[in-house]
Amino acid sequence: MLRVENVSYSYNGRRGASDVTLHVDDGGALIALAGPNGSGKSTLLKLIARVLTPQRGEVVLDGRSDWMAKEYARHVGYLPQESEDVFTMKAIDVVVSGRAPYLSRFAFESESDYAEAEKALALCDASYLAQRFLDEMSGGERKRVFLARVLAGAPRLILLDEPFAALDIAHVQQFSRLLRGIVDRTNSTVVFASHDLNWAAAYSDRMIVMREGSIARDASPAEVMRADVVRELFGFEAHVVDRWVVPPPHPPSAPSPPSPGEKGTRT
Amino acid sequence: MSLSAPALRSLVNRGLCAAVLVCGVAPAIPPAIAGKIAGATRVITLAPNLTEIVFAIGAGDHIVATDDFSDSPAAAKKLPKVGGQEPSIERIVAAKPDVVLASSSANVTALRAAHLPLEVIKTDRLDEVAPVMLQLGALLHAPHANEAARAVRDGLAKERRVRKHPPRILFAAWNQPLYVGGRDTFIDDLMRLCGAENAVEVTGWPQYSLESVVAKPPDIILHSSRLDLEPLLRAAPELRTKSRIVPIDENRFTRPGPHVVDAAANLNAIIDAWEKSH
Amino acid sequence: MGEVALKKGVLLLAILLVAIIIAAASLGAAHVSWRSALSGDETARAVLIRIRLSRVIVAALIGATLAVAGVTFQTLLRNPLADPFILGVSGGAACGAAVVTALGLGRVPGLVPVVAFAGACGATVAVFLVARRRGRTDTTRLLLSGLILNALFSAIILIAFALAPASDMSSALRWMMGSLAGASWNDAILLGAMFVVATTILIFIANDLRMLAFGEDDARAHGVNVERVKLIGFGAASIVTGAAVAVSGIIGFVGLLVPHLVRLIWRRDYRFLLPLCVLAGPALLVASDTVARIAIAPVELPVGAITALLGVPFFLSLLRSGR
Repeated sequence: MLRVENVSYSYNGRRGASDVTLHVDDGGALIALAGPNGSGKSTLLKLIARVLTPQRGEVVLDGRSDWMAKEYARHVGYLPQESEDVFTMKAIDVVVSGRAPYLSRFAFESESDYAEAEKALALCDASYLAQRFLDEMSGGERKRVFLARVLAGAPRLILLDEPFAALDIAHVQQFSRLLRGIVDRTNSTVVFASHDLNWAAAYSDRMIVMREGSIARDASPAEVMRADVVRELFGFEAHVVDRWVVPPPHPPSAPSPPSPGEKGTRT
Repeated sequence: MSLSAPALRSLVNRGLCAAVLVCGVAPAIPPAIAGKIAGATRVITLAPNLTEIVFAIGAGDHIVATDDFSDSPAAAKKLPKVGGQEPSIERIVAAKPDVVLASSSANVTALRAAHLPLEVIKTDRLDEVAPVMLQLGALLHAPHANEAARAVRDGLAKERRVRKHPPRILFAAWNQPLYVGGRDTFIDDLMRLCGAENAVEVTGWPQYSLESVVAKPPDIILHSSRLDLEPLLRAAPELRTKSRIVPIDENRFTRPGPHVVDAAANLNAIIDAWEKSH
Repeated sequence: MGEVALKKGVLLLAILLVAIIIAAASLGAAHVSWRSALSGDETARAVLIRIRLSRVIVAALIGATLAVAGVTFQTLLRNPLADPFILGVSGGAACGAAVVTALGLGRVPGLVPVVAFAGACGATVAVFLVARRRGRTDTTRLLLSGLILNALFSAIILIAFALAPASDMSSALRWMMGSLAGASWNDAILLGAMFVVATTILIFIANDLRMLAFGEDDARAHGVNVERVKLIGFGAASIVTGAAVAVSGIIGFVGLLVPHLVRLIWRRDYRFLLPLCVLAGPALLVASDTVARIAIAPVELPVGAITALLGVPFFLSLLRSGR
């Protein structure tokens, strides 16, 4: 379905992505885009979403790279890390705006667009939010509404930038189950970026690990989550317990602060 | 640039304040205190009507400097100038005055702060002109104060008219929006003296409704010759035919000084001409 | 589905606007009746049709224009405090008009509106360059840049006044003292033409502009040509601001107030807000101007004082809510 071929992009000389090549097939999968902060995950998602235009190389969908912007948006949905919602609206009106790529210039959304929006809300376990206003919702609820907005456009490829970043651990569980359900029920492919290696591995079928703007590994979670691979890609010695990376304890000389891992919370 | 009418001056002030988006509030001015600097020989006048009064009472040779707007009499033009809206404190101090005369509409905060020998003179109304002449005469030991005051009193008495059909007169101080001279003002005093009626029934210098002017057109509309009345007349062209529109030399007309008698005579001539054509 | 709600809102506001216009045309300092005007009384016709009605129509057009500019700036900058007056865009337009008039060029046909438009565009570009960082418009930067721009324009105006002859200066002052008095049918036609052109353009990009409210990256991902929409949107909002200032001088807070009053009832996107603001803006400004005309008639109050009295509490509550 999607081929990213030798794509490069830099922000005024600062490297974003360099010479990235990547293939994603149809048929429903949950793909994690992992890597440390600044490794180029967001840039790559924006390049695939056509938010950024590659400076070199090309992004090819179904063998074509000459898509009209609106047409392309019907196939590829994108959720930025933070959604702007300065002007509050009802959830259903927010979600239905995801139908924009199908709308002609002067048209308003039709009954069938609203039906799609309601279906999308249901997929995100958010039907009960339909008539609520954004500023009356928790962060997790708002995240689900904006995910529903992406789904309302019925894309085959869904790109999510750090969807877990602002969620607590319980909501991460809930949200990841949601993503799995969406892949199963719509047969679409979800690519999500995450700087947290453990979550990326726990919730994906395939891991693309980025480092310094390039793809360092593209393999199954089981192949990535090994002590030698973690050392190579992230540069620290870690124990890997049941596909879960446990960072080394602090050296005993320093007064050791309580480790977040011990309390079961992660940031 | 000469802005002598207090209304126009305050309007300009207001406009400039609007320009800097600050609302200016004029400080309250205490009444003039006379007599403490009797016999002053170095005088600075900060208003054109005060300059004219000091010359009229025969103390003109004591003036060492005036404000920029003082253009009369001819001798005043040659005197050193200390500035306009915001006179230069440095120049005033350097002129070493015994007394600085300012009108009550001026902003004197800076002058007070500089501890100058300040006298604030209130001459906003027609009947204040003669008393001010006497007051300044005493202050400056001026030789002709009594005569000058008498000339003003007698001259105004001679110009007093009672007319069978008093014309309604409007004084337009500003065009867009329309500001007018209301009751209890110098221009209102002049209209009464000359047997006319102010078309404006409220006091002060208000922004005024154009439609109420058109609904009851005044017989005569006076406006400063420097003020372009065209925008107003374009909106209300019937005023061209229903009212007699007379541009006036604001400096001669609205200065509460020795020339008030001329102003009254002038206004009487304007009204007489209107009566004749009516 | 959305269309029904919009039609209801439009109908409601249209009825309100017509009622306000009828009230405004009936109320005034002069006691003359429409019956005598229609039966041919010359004075009544002059007062009601040429003076009062033309002023009501100009007030309505200015209200519509400023409301459209306000809602467009708010959407483009994604900041509810954006308003042509607060951003300094009105100040830029007034600066252009006042400087041209002070230099004695005020009577060159068409020059004042063109320069007012240029001033508005200049200010918009400055806001865009100064207040935005990484695609977002921080409120603090927005307010500060507006403050600084207004200070700059005041300085330019004061210098132009210092150099201008007194008569030209007195006509230049009217741009600073926002007023609807003496507005003529010619003003109404110029303003109406600019308003129709700009609003038509904005209707063309309304579907894209409302997507921009969710962020620029988000809009691009939905197939919106963000750069083009921004250019057209800012251009149209600047044109109408320039035209409004060229006719009435600076009248503040209308562009802030109207979209917020509309949003209190209809919390919807730009496509809804645009037509509703086109109706609510005139309703608000005609009502404010009527109060200014009749509160202490025949003395008139500056209409900008009324809109500021209404607008400032709103502004402060928005600032406090921190959104």
